[in-house]
Amino acid sequence: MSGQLTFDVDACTGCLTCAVACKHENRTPPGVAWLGIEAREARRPDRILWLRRSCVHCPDAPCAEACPSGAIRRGAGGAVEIRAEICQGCGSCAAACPRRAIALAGELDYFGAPLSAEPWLEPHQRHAPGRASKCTLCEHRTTAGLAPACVEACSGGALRWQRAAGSSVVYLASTDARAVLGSETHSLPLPEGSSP
Amino acid sequence: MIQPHAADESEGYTFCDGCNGVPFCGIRFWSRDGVVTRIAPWPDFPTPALCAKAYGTLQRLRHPDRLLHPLRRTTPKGQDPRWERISWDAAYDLAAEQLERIRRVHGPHAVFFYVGDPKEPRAAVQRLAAAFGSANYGTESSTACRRAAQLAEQLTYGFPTLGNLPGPLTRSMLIWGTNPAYSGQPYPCHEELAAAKARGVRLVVVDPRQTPTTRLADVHLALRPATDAALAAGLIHVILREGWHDRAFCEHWIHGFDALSAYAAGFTPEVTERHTGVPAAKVVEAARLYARSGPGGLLTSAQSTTHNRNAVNNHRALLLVPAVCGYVDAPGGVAFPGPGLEGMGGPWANGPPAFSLRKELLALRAHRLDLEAFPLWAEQMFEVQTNLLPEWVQAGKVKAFLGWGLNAMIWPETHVYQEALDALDFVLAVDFFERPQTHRHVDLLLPAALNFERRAPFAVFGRRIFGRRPVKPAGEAREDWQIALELGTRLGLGERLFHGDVDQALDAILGQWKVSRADLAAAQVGGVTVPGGGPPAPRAHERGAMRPDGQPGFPTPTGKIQAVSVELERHGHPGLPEYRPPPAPDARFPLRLVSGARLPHITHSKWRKDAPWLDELGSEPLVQVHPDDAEPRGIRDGAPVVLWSAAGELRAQANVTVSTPPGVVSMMHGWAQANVNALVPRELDPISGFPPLKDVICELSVAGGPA
Repeated sequence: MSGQLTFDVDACTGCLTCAVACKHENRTPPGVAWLGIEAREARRPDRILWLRRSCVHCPDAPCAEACPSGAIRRGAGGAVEIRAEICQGCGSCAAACPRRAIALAGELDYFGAPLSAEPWLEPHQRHAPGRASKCTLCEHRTTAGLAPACVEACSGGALRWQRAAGSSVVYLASTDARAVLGSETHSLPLPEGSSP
Repeated sequence: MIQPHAADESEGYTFCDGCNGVPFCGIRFWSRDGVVTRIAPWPDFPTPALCAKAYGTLQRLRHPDRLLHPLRRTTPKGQDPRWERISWDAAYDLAAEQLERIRRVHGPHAVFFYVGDPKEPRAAVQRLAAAFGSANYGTESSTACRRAAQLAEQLTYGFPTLGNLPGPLTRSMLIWGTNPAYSGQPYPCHEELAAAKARGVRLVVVDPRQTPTTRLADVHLALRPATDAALAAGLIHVILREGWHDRAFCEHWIHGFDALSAYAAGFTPEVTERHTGVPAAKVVEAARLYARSGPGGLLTSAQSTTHNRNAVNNHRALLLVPAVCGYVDAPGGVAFPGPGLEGMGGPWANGPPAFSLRKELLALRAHRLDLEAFPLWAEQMFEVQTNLLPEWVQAGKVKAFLGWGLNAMIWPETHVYQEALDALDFVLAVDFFERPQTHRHVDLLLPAALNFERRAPFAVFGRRIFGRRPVKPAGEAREDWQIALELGTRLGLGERLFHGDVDQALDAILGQWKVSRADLAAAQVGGVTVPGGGPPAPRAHERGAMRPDGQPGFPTPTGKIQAVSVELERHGHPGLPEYRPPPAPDARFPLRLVSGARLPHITHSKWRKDAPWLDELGSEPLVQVHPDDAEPRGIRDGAPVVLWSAAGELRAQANVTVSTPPGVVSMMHGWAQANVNALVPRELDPISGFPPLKDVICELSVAGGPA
């Protein structure tokens, strides 16, 4: 199911719940964080805020351009998808992603067992060793009418989900927040019509 | 997702121990063949969401390093224990033999009973201590957490309170030393504060650091650590000088108001700035905003204001700010919590007094080891202050220490306590994982069941009781209640300890409300509500609804809020919450060190390697330092650094950040390889015995650089 995920920079407290809820939902391998929350700071006056680091399913998708195997495409709902069965694990997509949103799985799970060996894992929780992966916008949930796991876990109202044509991620940032972010503001997918 | 994923999935219910039992968030979970596979918030629970830590509890369950069998050391304490796996029978035999001998030779009070993190075993371990006949039962709360603030509250208001969320009538809030976005408090509290701000409630936030809470502030008072009493006196000075106080309330309901007024007269905004570092204009602005936008509420930390040499008085002083404004027990102000559910005697974690044999424990008061050093504390608190353990061991007054969730790193100058444990005849620990910094110093290590594997205790929110639906413990792990009850049974106390049966113990507690385990299981998600009254309406002190004697007034000896505490005077302390300047930084130690400011994914030291999802979010001990202090020392973000005080030193990684102000460095406690409490001197608050965990002068340099 397609939709729009909105991240409100000013509302995020950096509590990291979304990042761990993503781990729990998708059982991503060690070192593979589809979603991270990173601090940004400014001086005089001293200020801090937190920024979501994850795939924004960008229109130009440099990861897809960089993939030599054609494993990355835009799916039916408009999200950028990595097809693990085609991925050769070369890492070109991870290197090409300006948001550091793609990572390659290792061989083992958190406790040293072969990756994704537990029989009770759901299909979306199974990850192939050596293959690239990233945020799917929780397609397995949104097709069932649920919000992505990060959105559901956010109690502070920093993340929202609404059904929409296509798949997109939008960042909301006040003038204050933009002052802290400086030139990084230009790299964020701000709402259409807003000037960075 | 609400529906089971597969036919073979079972549903279970438990609580999160991530913030050590407060707020005790509800977890719904699913398991297959006894393996818990996923969790979600408990629907319609009083705490509506889960945080990062709750998800982390799932990963602990199947961690290969979990303790699954009783272990006995085979070497002298203080060395590598070379654990030997033994049976539960052998473990109990070993413990019982030691404890019976010590009771016979040295008396029952030479056995110290302790509950650290988690809090869950408290009710059962208190019962064991009282049945065994030892007066000496203490907790992490009575060592370094909640109890010093609680003592201040009892001495000042006559009742315990950490304040409360803003209500519909509240127009301003004083939020002092707490950051509910990351821990504690009624969860989710941050969202309530953000919503209050959106509807126009004015927020004054007092905190040396920048946090998500200070971002909400209308006025942020970034005081120097441990100068709270000076800032409170400065705020009161402005409020009284400008006539913004509630004159009638002060005259009728504050004991020692004239003395307070005279004392605060010395704290002009300029003097206050000199002591606290808060600009004089901000002191005035905050006082105006809080006193003129009434009624005002209060939110405080369980412990951040009491981790210093003036612990009780720093906290008592801040409590007087809402008092002079007339906000205490006013509609929309600081609420009187009331007695709560009959028979609970306060928060659930303390254990219901009747079950915990509180009367028997208190009858032994004359044998409390803290009686001499901290007599007022011993009068007011049922738990023993543990910070003088090394002295008691040296004097031969303690011979055995039984610790559920014991962590030696809670203590200042930690090595002194580790050596004290080594000198004891017998030390028992009950835990989830082996923690070398503690367990190198114990004789017997018993594996405890995790939160998903326990039946006890249930949760109590107001008048609602919620039960658990657990899975079976892994390996040979046992519930800590069961361990306490079985150990007592082995000591010949089976009649009083339900012959080791946890279900019977739960029945004994629930029976007082005419509730059964079956009732809890049948209700499960919604819990069982015990019929009866709710929280008291405001102005309880005017109606005579606060005091046990039914007279109007506050539940203090004077019937008033005590700016001057008659109990403190009786024990030879100043009656007013006087300011005592913390040690001033000097050429050798130019920085102030605060520890314990919460990271969002860690509460205490249990959250490191135990839950790799959380560990990945930050697995290095970090020293937070402001760029203004980092630059002259050549310290870059991520650089290895040495941090030291007169008491000790550690190596960690620099986190150059504006979250800590210039002149202050901040570090999370509980890193085994970089234990910040080792740098904290054993210089205790004379009233509470609390250690100065946020009141240390120190220096920092690049590792390998000039030291």
